[in-house]
Amino acid sequence: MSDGGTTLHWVTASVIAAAVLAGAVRLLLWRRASRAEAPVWRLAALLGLQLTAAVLLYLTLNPPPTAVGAAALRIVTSGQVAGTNPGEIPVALPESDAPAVVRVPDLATALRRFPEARSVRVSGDGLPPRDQGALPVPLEYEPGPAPVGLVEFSPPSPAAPGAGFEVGGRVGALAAGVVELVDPADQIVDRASVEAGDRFQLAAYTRAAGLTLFHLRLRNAEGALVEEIAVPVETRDAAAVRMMVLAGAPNPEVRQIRRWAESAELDVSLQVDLGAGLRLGDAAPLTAAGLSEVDLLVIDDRRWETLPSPSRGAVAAAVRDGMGLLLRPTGPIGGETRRQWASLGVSLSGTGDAVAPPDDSGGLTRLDLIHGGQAAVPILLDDQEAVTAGWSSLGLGRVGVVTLVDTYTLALTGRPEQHSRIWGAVVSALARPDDQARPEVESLAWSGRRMAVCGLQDEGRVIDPSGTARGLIIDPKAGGRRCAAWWPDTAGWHVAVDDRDQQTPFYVHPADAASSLLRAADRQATLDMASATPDADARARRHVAGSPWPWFTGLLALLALLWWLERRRPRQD
Amino acid sequence: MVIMAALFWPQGRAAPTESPSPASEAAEPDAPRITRTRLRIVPPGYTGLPAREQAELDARVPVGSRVEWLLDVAPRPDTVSAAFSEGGRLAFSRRRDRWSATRVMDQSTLYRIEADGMARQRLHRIDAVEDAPPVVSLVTPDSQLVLAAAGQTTFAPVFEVSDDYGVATTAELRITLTQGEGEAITSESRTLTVRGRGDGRSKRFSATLNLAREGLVGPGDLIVQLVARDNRRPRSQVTEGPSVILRRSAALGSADGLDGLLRPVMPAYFASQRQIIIDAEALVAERRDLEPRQFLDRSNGLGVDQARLRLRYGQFLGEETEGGGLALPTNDAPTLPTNDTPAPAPEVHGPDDGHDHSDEELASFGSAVDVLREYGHAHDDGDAATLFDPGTRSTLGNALDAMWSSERALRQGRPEEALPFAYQALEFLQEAQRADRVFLPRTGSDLPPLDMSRRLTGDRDDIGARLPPVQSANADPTLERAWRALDDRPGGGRVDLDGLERWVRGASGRLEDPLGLIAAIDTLRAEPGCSDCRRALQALLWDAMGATPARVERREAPNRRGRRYLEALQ
Repeated sequence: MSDGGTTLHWVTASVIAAAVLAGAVRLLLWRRASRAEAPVWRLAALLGLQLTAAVLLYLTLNPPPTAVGAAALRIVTSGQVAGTNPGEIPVALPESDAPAVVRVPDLATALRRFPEARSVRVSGDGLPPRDQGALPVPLEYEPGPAPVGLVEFSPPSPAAPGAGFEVGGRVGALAAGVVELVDPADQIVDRASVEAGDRFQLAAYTRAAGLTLFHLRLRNAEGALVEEIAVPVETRDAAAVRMMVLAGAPNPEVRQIRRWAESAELDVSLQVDLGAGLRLGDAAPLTAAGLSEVDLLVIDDRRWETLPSPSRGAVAAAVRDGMGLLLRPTGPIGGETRRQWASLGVSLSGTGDAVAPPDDSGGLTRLDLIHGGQAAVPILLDDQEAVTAGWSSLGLGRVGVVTLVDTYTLALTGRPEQHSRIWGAVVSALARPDDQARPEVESLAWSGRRMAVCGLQDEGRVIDPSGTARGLIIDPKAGGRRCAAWWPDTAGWHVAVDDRDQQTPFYVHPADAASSLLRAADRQATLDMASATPDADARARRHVAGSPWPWFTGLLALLALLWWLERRRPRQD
Repeated sequence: MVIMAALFWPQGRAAPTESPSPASEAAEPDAPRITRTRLRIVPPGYTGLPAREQAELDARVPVGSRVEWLLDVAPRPDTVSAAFSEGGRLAFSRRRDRWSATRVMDQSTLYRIEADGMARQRLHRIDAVEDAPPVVSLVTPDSQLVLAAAGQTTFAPVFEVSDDYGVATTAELRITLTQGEGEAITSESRTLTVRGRGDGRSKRFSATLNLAREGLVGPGDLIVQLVARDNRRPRSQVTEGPSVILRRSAALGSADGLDGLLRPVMPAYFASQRQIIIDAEALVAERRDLEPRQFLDRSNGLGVDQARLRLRYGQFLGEETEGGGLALPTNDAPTLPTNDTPAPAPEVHGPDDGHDHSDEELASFGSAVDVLREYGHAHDDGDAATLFDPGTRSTLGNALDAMWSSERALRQGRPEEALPFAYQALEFLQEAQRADRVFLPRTGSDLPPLDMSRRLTGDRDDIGARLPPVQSANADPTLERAWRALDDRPGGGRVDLDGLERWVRGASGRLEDPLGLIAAIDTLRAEPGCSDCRRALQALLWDAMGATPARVERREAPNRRGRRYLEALQ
């Protein structure tokens, strides 16, 4: 019982005591004023009854706790027929179809209705999200059979047009089977064999921008469909990255970067020094205004050395403002350049000599330069775990280093898609971000299940598949994440829109889609709840708040007697 | 009221079986409706397929099938017809309450049933499936090149022929025997009709060839090929099957190990000089039996051949050609695949002109020259032609001189005088043939012309690269727009179905299934609320888009807290 409660009790008791005192004084005054001789026993009875009524009132307001017996509540959830042990009160949640037990709408109701339960035993698939949360009593969980189908599923994050995406997951108790990823034209694009408990990862490629539904099918060893779930893929056509490439000398690497950038529809400008003051190509001037129109600046060490110091300052300022900067050493670099780069957060160690790949490996040459520091984030690793591309942040922007010097050979030897993958990863890691923060939505949503929409500023709304927009109420308890709850009631594509009209489409699965996923989630949550609560102590007696009603009835009777006694006048003969 | 099930997609993709009633139909209760449909398909007789009936109006039928529609329409309209997508209309005739029409399907088509006052129907599709040519596979031996075992006297290849409707009972076995070595290879061909065993669709053809009777006594190759036909009417389709070669090696008797079998064989570029010698000797021998005029003609003809041969070799040495005639004279049109460039019409020689030409020699000869013309730069003086190393070149030069002399004598009608020179040329050619190394000239870069007016002036204005634009390989924007409009985004835009259909019709040559796309567009246009129709169109669009090159993703912007954190770090 809290301090506040204790204080309240004391206040109640003092008020009642004061009232009793006032009543006694009034009785005495009244007796002295009335000349009539009233019998003494009546005064004594009135005083005594008043005191008793005061006690009863106190007890009505604060009924004393009562100790309850040692019964357990057997909660039957879906997927389990009630099998009750002696001393258990069987109760079924609405999800269960077990017959002949008490049905309750939720766990809280059951706990209220059966206060004598000192522990809860759950059997079946586990408690639904509605009933998950801290419990006042210990919880035991006897899990039902593990789900056969998918138990984990991670849908892909938004991808660029033509880019690859990956779908991962884990299968449940299915002995052996195949997972297939099916494209919108109903053709299998990837498949993997799985056994019970296996994780899998499937990959596919997007096409044009838009919302696409792939499907993931789990088949058993005989080829029969076990489970199917839609894989929603949002293909986002972001505004083209504006890339500026500055090179101190013409070389095939720069040429291939430009070719790749144009094929990937980047807005690329290139400037190459030819020596003697000659420059090929055109690029915006390196000023604050010019660089604000650039999302990624790619510069090699030779060009960096020729930059005048105001330009270097403008570049650093632009990076702090969000621009990406990719430094491309082409050989051993001088101490001055190292110092300047270190001031941008890129401290390089190593000689800068070329490290050739093993003969006939078809690998790439990298420079012996390590982008050190704890803040460095790798983008690409080679097979010896050496970082060949990495970045560190500077202000709002990022400064990256690529130590690979001959990626163009990939394109020349018929592997342009690998070249594209390397540079795509580098550019998307470094380039200035889309300045539009979108609402964040949980990756998996089911019709009829609560989900959270976060990252809303002041208001938000969700447009459902019929085109109806409904407002969201931001939960003040969510704090800085600015979340609101949403209960989808139809399946299909929805769009969460924030007050700046930024949209995040999300797919709501039908309530019966991939039920094993939901069962696995409930099961895990219930297991977590069971491990978080202490074990039930069989002998412990538990005290619960007593009922005020008996006290109140007594009080009522006593007050009636008191009233009758006080109003009764002795017969004046 | 039943609107018949529609099967739009032949890949087994079932379109909605029950289409929602178009609004107009619901509004007019008295409008005619199709109450019963039958489609009677009579495949062409040679297929052996039975006539069949089906209730669906979509079908896959063999090309040439007769399709008969039988429709019950109530209440009775004035006319019923089928409008075809490629244009044209087929009127139905009525017999009591049943409407019928017949058409022979020669190509895949879409059609729509129309009747007076009837609500707009979905497009239906009839796919005319082409008859596939027969497929010939070799059963025994298991490889196409077999080395004859010592003492082998017979050779019995077995071929299996399968076809979708039926294989003709007989097939031709083409037997070619080539014998000799190096310069003196002779070949003879004959055909043998063989009968197949097996059922209608798959037959086995075999023949047992006696090697001695076929003439394979010495070293040589026996090449056997099966030419099979199917039973298509009016014209059967012919497939030339794989050849199987039985090789008897020259060194077979004494061969130990692989040396004798794998001896490198130089391509016989220069075999025709020997032919000219043979023909010239034959001409000298026949001299007494010929009239002088005839003799002179034939001698001159040989001179022409000798000239052509000389011109060919001259090309190797970078000589100018006289005229364009590069083709060697042949007896008949080459049956083997030869060079891709069309040769000028060869001078016609009769079969009795006293000399013979081997097609195989010509084929390899022509392709060698083509390689030179395609990659080399032979239009040059002799010393700069670098196809051959210097020794070979001088040898070839000597051969050309001898050919000149031989040609001169032949043209003058004195073949006996030509023979020594011809022999000399042959020897030089054989010597050149032994030189196995061939050099190709380097190709230089084509530099732009110098601007002499600016040279050495130090003027560097306007120097700069204009970087050429790169062609985008992405999907067509119409397609991308349509895909985006169809993608079920709540509050998304409307699909420009007309524009999409125009695009499909324009690009039908590049698309895999334009008919399916047009049908799906038409269905969606008539029933905008049909989500299955929408999905079907989406699937077809996805296929039509093909793989697109990957574009670059932008990283997500940090949210407000992340931004504050990053700003605080500075």
